[in-house]
Amino acid sequence: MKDTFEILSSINRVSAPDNIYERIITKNNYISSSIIYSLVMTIFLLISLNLFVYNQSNNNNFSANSIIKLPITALYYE
Amino acid sequence: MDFKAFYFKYKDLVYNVALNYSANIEDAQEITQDVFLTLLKKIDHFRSESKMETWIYKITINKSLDYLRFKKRKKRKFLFNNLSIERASNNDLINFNHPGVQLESKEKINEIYKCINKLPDSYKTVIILLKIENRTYKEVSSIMGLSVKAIESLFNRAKNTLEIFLKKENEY
Repeated sequence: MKDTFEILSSINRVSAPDNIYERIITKNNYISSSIIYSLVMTIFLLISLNLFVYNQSNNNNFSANSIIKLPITALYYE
Repeated sequence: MDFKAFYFKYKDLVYNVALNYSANIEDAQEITQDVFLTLLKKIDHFRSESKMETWIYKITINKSLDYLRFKKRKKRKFLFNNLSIERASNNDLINFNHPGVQLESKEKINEIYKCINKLPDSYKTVIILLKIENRTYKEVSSIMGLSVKAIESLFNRAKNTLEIFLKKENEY
């Protein structure tokens, strides 16, 4: 075992390659595709919801306007 | 905190520990990258109860062991799907690529590493820290969170187990 450990202690220390730092910075700034996808879907849903609500409110206004345009006699119960 | 200065101060420590676990340049680079990304997130939470170096050692060791486990699972899956056993054992030699190893000792050290890789994590760690990183018992006890006596006992058990594995390896 002494030989084994002597051989192991002969392993030299080496210097880390220079490119690792750039890779770390790039990876740290990277926004994952799943986050981008979630953001896009959220924006899409919000726009769809707003359009739906807008359309609904427009329809309500239309039906209210059509009652106003009826002749006034039609509103009275005969 | 100036991350660039921090990185250049500790990059060799992290890289060498990663290399001593993985014995492979590409894997060591991946591990080093992961370690520094973790350090970047956690550095503000570092409490100076222990030394910075001890803390970095702990993170590097955990990341190295996680990476080795992940690689083992991946290899097992690949073996199950594709590879023959003969090619799998040859893979060990192909993957051994430690730049700190001299050419004349490469085969012998590869053999030792095959046996070290079979050891449980705590045995592997104590051997790497004491005999390759050349840390003192006191430093290893801080890193592993055990008493000096416990480290001595752990090292003895690790040494005996490694001896058994090496004997079996030489018999083949």
